[in-house]
Amino acid sequence: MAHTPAQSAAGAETPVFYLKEDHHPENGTSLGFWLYLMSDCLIFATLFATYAVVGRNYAAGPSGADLFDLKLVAINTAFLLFSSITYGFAMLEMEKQKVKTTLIWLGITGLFGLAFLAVELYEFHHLIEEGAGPQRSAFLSAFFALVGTHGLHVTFGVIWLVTLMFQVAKHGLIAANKRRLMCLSMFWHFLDVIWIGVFTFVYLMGTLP
Amino acid sequence: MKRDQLRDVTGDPYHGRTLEWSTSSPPPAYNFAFTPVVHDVDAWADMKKRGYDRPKEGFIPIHMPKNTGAGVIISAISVVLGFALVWHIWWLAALSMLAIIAVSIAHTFNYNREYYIPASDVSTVEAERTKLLAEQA
Repeated sequence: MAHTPAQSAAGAETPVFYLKEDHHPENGTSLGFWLYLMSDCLIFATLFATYAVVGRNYAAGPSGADLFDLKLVAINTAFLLFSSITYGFAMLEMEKQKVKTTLIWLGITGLFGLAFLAVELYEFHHLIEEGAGPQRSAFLSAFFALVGTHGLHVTFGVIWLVTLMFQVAKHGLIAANKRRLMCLSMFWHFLDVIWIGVFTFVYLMGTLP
Repeated sequence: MKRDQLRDVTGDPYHGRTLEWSTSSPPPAYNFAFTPVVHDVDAWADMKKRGYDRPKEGFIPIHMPKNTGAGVIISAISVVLGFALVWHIWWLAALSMLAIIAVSIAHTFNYNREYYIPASDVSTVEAERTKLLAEQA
């Protein structure tokens, strides 16, 4: 890392104009990934804000209380929360350099993710069948935009996870793969946090009268 | 023609004030042999004023990213995707979207992304420049 450059205030001494050693910031990827996550956070912030504004504009159509099946959503929430825990286990195994158990926990995480997506797709399909598609009202447009965007994120997370499983199987737990697993870990937990918001503001508060 | 006679070799023909004028023209692949330390907004003017001496030895290998075509390829497919979306050609939109994902994933399988410019190469390039500067002066 960089040493502190000598200050010219020291006197006649010539100031340091260049660094004599290799100069690369540590953990540059983590910083970049945090910046990405925060920009993603802004996308969800706008979608939540939209939902907050138009979420009760039913256009004489069905409301959240009419549509949402809280039991189903509870199961879905459980799937996603458990997937975060199993990802945590995968990271613990990664720290111990155990390729096989890391892969097993990643696989379980992916299955939870797929289960979440399956339930969400079932829910969407069911809503559209009932005539409660995104065109029905401002409430449903905002609902599908917000929950659909989260679902798309989970979809890409699962694709990413499968890709990483192949790479870990191929190259082992080398530094590059550990960095990638760490990034996906932050992404996965981030989606979990967003889902807590969706669950609370859309489903729980939506079923209130 | 005086084209060759009049060509600038210093990289700083107009007494520039900022760091891009401190390197050669065209610059070497690594831009700066050592990472500059900035004390002033007009760093290069400050350096010249306070007796900056160009380093001529003690070079170290320079860590560099390798070239990759991934960005250019993905943006080219993005053009196709944009075209397909504008004109409602859904099969092409789906195909180009899949292609973007496929190229992105394929790119992540490339682990060999960096290299070092050896110190000897840096020395050669910098010695060349030292010679040119001496001739100019």
